[in-house]
Amino acid sequence: MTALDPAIVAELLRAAGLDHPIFDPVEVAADFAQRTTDIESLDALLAGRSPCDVTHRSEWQR
Amino acid sequence: MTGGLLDSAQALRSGSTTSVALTEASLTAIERLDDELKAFVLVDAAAALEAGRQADLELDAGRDLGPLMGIGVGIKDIVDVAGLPTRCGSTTYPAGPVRSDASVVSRLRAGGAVIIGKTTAHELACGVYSAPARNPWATDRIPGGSSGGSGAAVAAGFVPVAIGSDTGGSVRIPASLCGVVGLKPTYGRVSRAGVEPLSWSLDHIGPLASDVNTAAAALGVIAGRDDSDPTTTTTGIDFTDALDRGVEGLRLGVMEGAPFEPLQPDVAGAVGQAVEILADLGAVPVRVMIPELRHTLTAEFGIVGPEAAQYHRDRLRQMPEQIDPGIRALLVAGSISPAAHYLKALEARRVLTDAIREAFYASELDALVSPTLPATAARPDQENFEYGDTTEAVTLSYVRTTAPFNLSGLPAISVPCGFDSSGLPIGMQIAGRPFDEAMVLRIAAAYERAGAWTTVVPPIHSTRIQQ
Repeated sequence: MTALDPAIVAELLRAAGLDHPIFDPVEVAADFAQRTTDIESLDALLAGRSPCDVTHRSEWQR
Repeated sequence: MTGGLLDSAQALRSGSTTSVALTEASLTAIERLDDELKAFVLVDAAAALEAGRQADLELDAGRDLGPLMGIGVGIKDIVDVAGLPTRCGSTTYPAGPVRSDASVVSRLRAGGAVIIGKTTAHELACGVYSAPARNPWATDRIPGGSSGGSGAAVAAGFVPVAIGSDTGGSVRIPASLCGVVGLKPTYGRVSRAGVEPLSWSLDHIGPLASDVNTAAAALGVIAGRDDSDPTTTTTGIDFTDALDRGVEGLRLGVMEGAPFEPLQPDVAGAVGQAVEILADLGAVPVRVMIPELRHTLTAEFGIVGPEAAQYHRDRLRQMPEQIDPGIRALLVAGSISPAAHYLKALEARRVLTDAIREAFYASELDALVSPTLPATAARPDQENFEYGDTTEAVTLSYVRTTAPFNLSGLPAISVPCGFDSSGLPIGMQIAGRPFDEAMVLRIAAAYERAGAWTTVVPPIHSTRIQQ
């Protein structure tokens, strides 16, 4: 799981205009770490694919 | 489900009923039964009756505007209807009326349909519970979502057709859980103009209907090119044309492996029997596994998060306390996640779509068949399903089997195919090639005629009202 420092998360939230106290940087950091792990699991799917494989659009990919 | 379009349309044209009478029957059923179901958030009785009167005048004058003329329709409350508010199941939306119709509503009105009111949506169209709506088959169960009110309204016989939206399954999930037909057309088939987005590259608009013929007729009315939505394409297709052609010789890819497993045993049994019926009718089942689809949920939520966060950014900044914590977490993650994450999900989407295409070509398939959902209707407070030793969140369970066809944009229908041991409906999903809605409707119609599940009505239904 990729950890992100809650202090950095607080900066990211501020930059996104989300400086409301309801957003807890520690909670957001934990959630972000889980989602990052999920996204990184796609590396196995994408490994070895050509640029065309992952960017092209066809009649099957509107 | 009884109360299909064909009977009403014939009765209207033979003069044995009127649109006003049909509308009054809908309004009476809603008044008497919807306290328990909460399928509608708003009913505009006066406007509906006026539309009914207008339809009757037009029919009397010999002007026939099509199959939905004089027929009541429910509209999911994320779709704009002029003069009514659009609230999206959220207190963050204004209570005042919107000024103009969504394109899909304009098409319905042009086709003479009678807009009955707005149906309950899960908050921001981002969930599968659709509180406070309940399931007509068992009021201690959810109708699914996010078009849960539309599913409940059709299942209860309030209207023969209702409009829903589908970003990860939100037409097909309530259709399956409520025992009605739900069709997510190809991306670009139906305009999204005037519909609140959740995730613009995954959002689709489609009908939930009492039977396949009604779904086909409704799609014919709402489909087509719209300058307000540049993704839309050709018009003028009659989706009812091929409904009677049967399935003789059609090759059906029966999906196996993740994400179509694990399943509740009753679901596996019902869908297996449905495939046998299709085979008895002459179809050729072919076992298909697409290993890439095990990444469906990651790709789906990797796209929904950033797109929804971008669309709802002001809402998230200004009224975060009014947003459900689970949805808020998704929006926050989407707000701060790096572009690389979103792009990776988009790349995965291309790979998944290519894998589906390869399966179609390699096995010369006409359609893919699977359970619409791995499980039947959950309780409102239920968080997980248990599949043997596996525990899975309700939302993820419901989305994993439907989302492949949001990512790929392919047409997919849910048609009722039986009940579990508790009497809760089960749906079968049929997905087709791009813009081949006619094929999925044709297969669904053939199965529907043989299976006859749509003739069974739930305990809460308009036909059960004591006169």
